[in-house]
Amino acid sequence: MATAGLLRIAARNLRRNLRRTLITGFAISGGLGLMIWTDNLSEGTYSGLIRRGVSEQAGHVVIQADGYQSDPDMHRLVEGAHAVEQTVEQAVRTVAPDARVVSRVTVQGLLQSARNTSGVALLGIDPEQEATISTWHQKVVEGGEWLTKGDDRSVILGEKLAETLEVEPGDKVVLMAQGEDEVVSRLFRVRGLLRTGVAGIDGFMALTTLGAAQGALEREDAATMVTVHLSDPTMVPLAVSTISAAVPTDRLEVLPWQEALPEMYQFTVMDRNSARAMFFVIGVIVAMGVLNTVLMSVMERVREFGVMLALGTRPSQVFRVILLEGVLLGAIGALFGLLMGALATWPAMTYGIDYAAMMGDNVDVGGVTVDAIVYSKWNWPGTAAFCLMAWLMTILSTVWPAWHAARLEPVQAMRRT
Amino acid sequence: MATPIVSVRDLKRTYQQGQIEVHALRGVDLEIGAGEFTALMGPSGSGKTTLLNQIGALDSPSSGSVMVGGEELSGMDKSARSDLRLNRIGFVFQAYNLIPVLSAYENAEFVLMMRGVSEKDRRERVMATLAAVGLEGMEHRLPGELSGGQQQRVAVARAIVGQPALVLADEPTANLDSKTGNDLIDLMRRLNADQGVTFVFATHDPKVMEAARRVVSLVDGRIESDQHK
Repeated sequence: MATAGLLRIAARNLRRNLRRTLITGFAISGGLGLMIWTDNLSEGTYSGLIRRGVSEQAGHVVIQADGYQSDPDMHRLVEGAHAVEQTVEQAVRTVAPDARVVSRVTVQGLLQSARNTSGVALLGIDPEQEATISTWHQKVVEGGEWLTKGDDRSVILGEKLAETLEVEPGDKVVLMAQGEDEVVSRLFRVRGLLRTGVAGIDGFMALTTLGAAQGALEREDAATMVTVHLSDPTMVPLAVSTISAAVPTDRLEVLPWQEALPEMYQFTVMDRNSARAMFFVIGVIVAMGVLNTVLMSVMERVREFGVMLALGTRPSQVFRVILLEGVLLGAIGALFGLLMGALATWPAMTYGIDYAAMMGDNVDVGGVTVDAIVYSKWNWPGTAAFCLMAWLMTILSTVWPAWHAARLEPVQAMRRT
Repeated sequence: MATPIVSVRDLKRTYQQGQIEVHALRGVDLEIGAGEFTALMGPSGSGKTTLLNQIGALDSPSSGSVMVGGEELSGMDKSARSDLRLNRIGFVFQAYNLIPVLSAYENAEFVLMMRGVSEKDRRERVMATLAAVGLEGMEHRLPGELSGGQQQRVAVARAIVGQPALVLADEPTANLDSKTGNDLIDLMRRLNADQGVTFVFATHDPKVMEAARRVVSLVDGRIESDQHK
């Protein structure tokens, strides 16, 4: 009953100086809206980065020869890759029926044209399967063609690599790589050029069929890695444990993408943490503003609090009146902040934000291209946490003024003008 | 004298103002019975308001004792004093001291709400009290929309609505014009006569002293005279 009376006074006090309440509320909701918008944009960036990294560099789960992660020697291979692929596929589909499993072979070597020579990282893939997983096939420059299965004499070169070698689609190049025992050379015809925007890929990478890469290593049924691609990334831990139970872990290591692509994972973790630190600073600045406003408003009402205390209101009830003002102000600020965050996020989710002009050619994280157009993605737990934080910090910033008011002596307080 | 509602024994109150000790009360003995209409008079600095604040549990004595409704105030903590003021004492202040964000009705209702009285009972009692002080039809007005006399009537309504044992009024007519002041004195006399409300005033106003049935005169923190009419 008394709480209803205190709530009424708190609400009226907020309405009494509406302009001040609106300015304070706007500071809270503006800060919160900015946090929500930024967090959702970061979430979209991480999501795109992880999606690309997972599809092009590894998989949600990677199976490779034991020790490859710490020492990526190209001859440290998954033996009997076809059988491993089948075993993995069978196992993972018990927990993720739409999972896709592909093998990849990486060969380090030299690529020679009629005019020049360059180091190359040749990636052997299954062209048909790969086209359903990664976006390599969409990045073949006009005039070239994507690989076809069984065409073991074709290669797609990174655009900058082709420039170095001074070749174009239709030209021939020779790969020299360390085979099982001796140097192996293979002749390829350039089928197309790849433009990703990542210097490390465009300048040194080439794609060919799985069979061709295996041939270059003189290892018919071997792969550098067997990769698993899931439609639901939250299934990764379950998939890892399921696959680990199905494959011989004494000679194979089963890694989640976070371990297979540590540089990229660390980037997302660090970036997220630095963003959270920045959000905390924004929160503290807004809370200081709220504290200042509430303190000012308490100082203006000392006489009123004196009257309330004289009439028999307990100090704890005076404390609650001011705390309730914080509860209401924080709730209004959080609500409008959520609305502002949602309104700002919506266009960034629908149309994306085009960073092309700012990014130039070399924006990548751990060899993964950052999309030129970034689409925001709702991070609901983050949004809920920010709203709760804004609300709690507003309430917290009223504690000191409330404590000050509760300690007033009624006689002295009523003398104030 | 009727059963004393207020019993003050050898009450002393000393303030420190910088290096100087101010003896506001120098040993006051006073009993006030139920249903009395008492004026505390005296020049400025005589200790009227200090005595009123002591009786109203708004201040603590330096020595001596104050009992209100049989309860000893010294030794009470802040919350117990708050409860005593809420349940036993009504206050009327010189500057009205209404809560500006609450309407006349809500100001009068405030004490009952803090006591936890049900909404139905509150409505009945507040409406009856506002009618008794002549504020029918003005329930929804905010203090800023009322004249000084009307605001002081709301303050009186707030003081008596909870049927306290005692109403303490500190210079209630000081901010009012002569006619409004007279009307307010008549109102409080009527409430005293009809409802048996006990009033104690601190006042300079000769009209209040004229209306009072007992006048206690204070000089330099001591009772100089105590006249029953």
